[in-house]
Amino acid sequence: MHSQPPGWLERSDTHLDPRPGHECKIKNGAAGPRSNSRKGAKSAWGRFMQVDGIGYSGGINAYVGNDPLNLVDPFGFTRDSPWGVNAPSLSQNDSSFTTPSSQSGLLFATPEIFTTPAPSTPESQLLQLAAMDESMLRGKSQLLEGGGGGGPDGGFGGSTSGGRNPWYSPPPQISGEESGPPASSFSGSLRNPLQAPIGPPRNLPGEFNGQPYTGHAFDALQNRGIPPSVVDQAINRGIPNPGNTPGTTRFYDPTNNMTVVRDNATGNIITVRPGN
Amino acid sequence: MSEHNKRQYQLMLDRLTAFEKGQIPLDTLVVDLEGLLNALEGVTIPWRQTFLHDWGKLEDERAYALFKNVKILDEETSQRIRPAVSNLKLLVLEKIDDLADRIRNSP
Repeated sequence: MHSQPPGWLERSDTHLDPRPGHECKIKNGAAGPRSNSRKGAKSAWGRFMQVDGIGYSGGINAYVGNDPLNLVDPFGFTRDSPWGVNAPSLSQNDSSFTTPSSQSGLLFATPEIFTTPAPSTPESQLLQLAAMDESMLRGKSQLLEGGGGGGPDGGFGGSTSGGRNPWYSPPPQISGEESGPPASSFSGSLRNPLQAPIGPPRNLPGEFNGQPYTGHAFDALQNRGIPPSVVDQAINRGIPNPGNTPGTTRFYDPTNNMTVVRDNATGNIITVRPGN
Repeated sequence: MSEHNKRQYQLMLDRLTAFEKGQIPLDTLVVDLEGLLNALEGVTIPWRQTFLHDWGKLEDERAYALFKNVKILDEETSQRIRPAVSNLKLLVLEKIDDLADRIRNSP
C-alpha cells in the first residue's frame, strides 16, 4: 500500500482502477467514503473499494463472496454475516477464509452494539457505520423483493432478518408494581377541552377536600383540565354573586378567570367553568 | 378574519338557530359552543369574556338541570335561557356582519 498524506483517504470512486495494487486517492469529501486505513468504504454501495487484506486469495473482486447484501467483511480477512446467529457459517465451509470468527463477529453479532455505545475509536465508528449501510441495503433489497421490512417492526432499511432494527430501541418494559395503577380516566385542558358526551354525567357525585361535587362538576373538572385547588381558591377568595339559577351562588376567581357554581341548599359544587 | 374563524362563527350561529328552533337540546348547544369557541383563533379577550358570560348562563342551567335530574326545561328556565341565546347570537352576528361589511366596502 501507498503511504498517504494527512487528510487523504484511500478511495476508489469514479477513478477506480481495478488492477491489483492500484488505488486511486482522492481527498475525503463531505459525502465521501470512509476509511479504516486498511480499505476505503463507499457507503452508497455498501462495499469496500480496495482489495482485502488477504489480497486476492478470496478471488478477484469477490468481496464477501459477491454477496454484500447479506455478508460483511469489516477487516478484510473474512466474510461473515452482520446478523450473527442467522448467518451461514461460510468460514467453516470455505478453507480460503481462515480468520477467526470471533474477530469478524465481534462487532456485528452481539446485540450490545445497538443498545450500548461502542468504544469511540475511528475504527469502531467506521465498522458501526458499515454495519448500518449493510442493514440498509438489506432492507432495501427485501423491499424490492416484496419481502417487507423483514422484522416484526416492519420498518424500512434497518430491519434485519432477526427482527432487530439498529435505529430503534424499544421502550423499557415496565411491569408489575412499577407500572402503577392504570389511569382512572381521561382529561382535557382549557386549550383543548374534551367533547363531553351528551347524556348523564360520567362521574358519580362525590367529595373532594371536604367539598361535595356533583357528577357533572367532576366531569367539568376533567373535561376542562381544572385542578380542584382552583375550585378551593374560587370559593375561599373569589367574588360571590347570586347564581344565574335561583338557589345557587357563583364564585368568580379573577386570577384564574374561573367561576364555580354552588348549590346553596346542599353545598354541592354543580359546575366549574371559565369566564364570569 | 380567517376562513377558519369564519367557519366557526357560522357554525356557532347554526347551533344557536337550531336550538331556538328546538332541533338540538341544551346539552348539545353548550358543548358545541364551548368547542367552537376554543377552536377560534386570535379572539379578543373582551369578546371572549362577553361570550363566556352568556354561555356560562347556559352552562349553569344545564348543570343545575343535571343536578336536579330535570329532563325537560320549564318555562321559567326557558325565559332565563332565551336572553342568553339572543346575546350570543348578536355577538356572533357582530363578527359575521363585520366580515360582510368589510367585503362589501372593499374596492
